[in-house]
Amino acid sequence: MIADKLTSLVQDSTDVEYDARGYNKHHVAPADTLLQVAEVFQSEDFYLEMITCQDRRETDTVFRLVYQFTRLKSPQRHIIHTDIAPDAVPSSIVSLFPSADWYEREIFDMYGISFDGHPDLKRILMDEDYTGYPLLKDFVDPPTPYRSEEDADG
Amino acid sequence: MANAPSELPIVQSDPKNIDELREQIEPLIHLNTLENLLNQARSRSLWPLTFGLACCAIEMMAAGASRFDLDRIGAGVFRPSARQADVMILAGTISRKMAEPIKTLWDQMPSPKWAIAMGGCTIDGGPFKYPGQYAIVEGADKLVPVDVYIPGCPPRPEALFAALFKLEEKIRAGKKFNG
Repeated sequence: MIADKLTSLVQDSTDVEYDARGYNKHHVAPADTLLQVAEVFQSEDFYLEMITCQDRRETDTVFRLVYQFTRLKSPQRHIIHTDIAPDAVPSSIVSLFPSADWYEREIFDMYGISFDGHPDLKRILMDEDYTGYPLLKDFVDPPTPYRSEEDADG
Repeated sequence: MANAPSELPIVQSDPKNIDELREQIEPLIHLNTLENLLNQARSRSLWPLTFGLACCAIEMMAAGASRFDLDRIGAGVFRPSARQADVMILAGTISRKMAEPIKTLWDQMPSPKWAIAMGGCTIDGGPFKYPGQYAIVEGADKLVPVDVYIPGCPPRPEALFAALFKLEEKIRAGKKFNG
């Protein structure tokens, strides 16, 4: 069973009321077992629903990666939180879930987090010669000719 | 040919002063006539580039379809190649990543060429313009020289027609165009 396979890999697992939160289980996994956790979900016929990131440097001095795995056969949805240090390089799960490709590129684009083992890590939403990571809390947009500075106060 | 002067007038003015030169050769060569004729032709066969950026493109497509029918005014021949297009209808939000391709397309279009900025986004960024936004080009005029702006979010097909009529007017007036 999925819970047995995960016990040694995750720090904390909680059952969640699906009707209230929309998912069944919540896990906290350390960054170094991330790949193994993904492997467990892959072997249990889960698909990757999304990956996202939170900039929590102000409160916890970490970035939090949020993975969401779902399966349709005996339906379940699991959320995995992984806290990483701002300069850490988490491992990519593209080798297990090809759909992680663009999610990891988006996180790289918006937060500047590199993923170890990603086949083609480059910006996805911003143009390639853009500098800066727009979703960081301390983001300041570099000067650009594409913006009207005189109306900057909105 | 009966009225043709027996001798060509000798042009003595400074060729840099083009107006004066024009005045002297005007009886012989009617430059304006051909230019006007070409402008007439140009204004009545505006071939737009097949090119939509966001939701305004849906209204542009509606304008091209049977209910409104851009072909009625000769502007329905959407060209899939920039090399064959006369007018670029910038229909929709211009993201920063799209800025470079738009410039390339504009450069690929042969002169004479015109640009229509359709909708609020292409005028100044529209609803996506706010302090700290990082994704949008605030106005098509930052990329290409725009001839006609259409306000609206999105503008109706009639507004696109009005813009094309205005552009026709501008082309036909040539250098005499004012406003």
